[in-house]
Amino acid sequence: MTTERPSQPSPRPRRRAAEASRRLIAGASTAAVFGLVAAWSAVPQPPAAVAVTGLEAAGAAAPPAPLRVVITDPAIDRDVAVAAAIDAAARGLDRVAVPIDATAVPTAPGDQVNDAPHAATHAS
Amino acid sequence: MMLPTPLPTPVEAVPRQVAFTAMGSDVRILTLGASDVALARAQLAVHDLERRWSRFRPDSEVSRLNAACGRPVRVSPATTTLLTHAVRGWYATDGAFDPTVVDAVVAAGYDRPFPDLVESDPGSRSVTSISPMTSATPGCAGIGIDQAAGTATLPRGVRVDAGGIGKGLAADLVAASLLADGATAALVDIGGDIRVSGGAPLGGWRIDIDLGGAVRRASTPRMVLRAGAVATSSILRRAWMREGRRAHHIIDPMTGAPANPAFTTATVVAGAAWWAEVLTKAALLAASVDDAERLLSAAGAVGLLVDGDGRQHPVSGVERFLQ
Repeated sequence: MTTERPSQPSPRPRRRAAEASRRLIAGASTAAVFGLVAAWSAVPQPPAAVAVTGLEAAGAAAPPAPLRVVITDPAIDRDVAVAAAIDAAARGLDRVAVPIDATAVPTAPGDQVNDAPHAATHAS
Repeated sequence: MMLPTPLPTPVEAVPRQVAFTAMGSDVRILTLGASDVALARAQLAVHDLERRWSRFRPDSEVSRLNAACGRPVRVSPATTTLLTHAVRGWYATDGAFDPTVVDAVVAAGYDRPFPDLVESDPGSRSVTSISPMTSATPGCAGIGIDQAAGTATLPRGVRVDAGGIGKGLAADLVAASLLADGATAALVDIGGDIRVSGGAPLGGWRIDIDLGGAVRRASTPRMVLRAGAVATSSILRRAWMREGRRAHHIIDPMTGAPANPAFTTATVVAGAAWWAEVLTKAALLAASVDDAERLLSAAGAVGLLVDGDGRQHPVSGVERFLQ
């Protein structure tokens, strides 16, 4: 088993988005084995697996075609969306609906607002 | 891969909770429908993750990785998950979140558990004999993770830290374990990084946003969450004096020094707590509200930022979560 790792020196952080995207696509069979490209705008997306080794790499005769994941609702959790897209693609579907994680509870006029919080988010 | 199950309808049940200290923070776990045994297991799970991830424990998996000088180290699935998410976060934020900043954090003075620096307020936390970093942090491109063999490898000279992602990921893992253990709903709060899962209480989970000293007037926004996560980061906490100057733990990966950001505090809501926590670091380093908007929108998250003048900036639609 081998560990996939780029041979080049570590890049400086804060690369421009376009350059980062090119590096991600060119960088490897690491990303290509899973072959996921999430369809966002400027922010480059990570590969589904950082360094694929062992059975996955050994068994991959050729990288699969990239899977373009288009998330239509920003409330959808990315991990959930990617997993659902992989599953849908395997079943030959080009569209899948997933439950939205991180959901808000809208407050209608007249709602009784309980004044006791369950928790507080804060820096630590 | 399994698809997530639909959210259950709200449940009414007797809430149970446990509070303790771990990961250098206050921890609070609230559940609906959990047994005493499940709550106890959840508490043990938090402590277990701290034992695996703390850089202040020489026998932790993270410490062993950092000491391995480029050799592969066998790690647990939880640590594999930590590293995988950390590297994904590095890529997704274009390096703004960087788990390899540990040497820079130590060089800035955070070389021991924070309570041990000096008790009391930042003005009296004083660290001397610091050699500040003056170069970019190494980044994650060379980190290797062998899922099949259960090993991880850091390039020689690269060290990692779970700070910036560990509390959030622990909250995610423990919330999931509570549901698997029979709870119908769970809120796991580790140092203010919060994950809620399962069926929410009627009306949702009510979570105050403690902005600390970021705003001059008393202002505690509240959000209501049915599912997902919220995390907050700030340069106003975990701060200390270094050679007469104020330092903090938010490192700018470009310089290796404590950042001088446009924002003092960032709160992010996302689908998972590890992701929310990672994004708070990146949002703090955004150059402007527009940059933060682009970052969070692309990430499928929303946020509330506070600038140096105490002004609050809702970003990417966070208003729908606020009461």
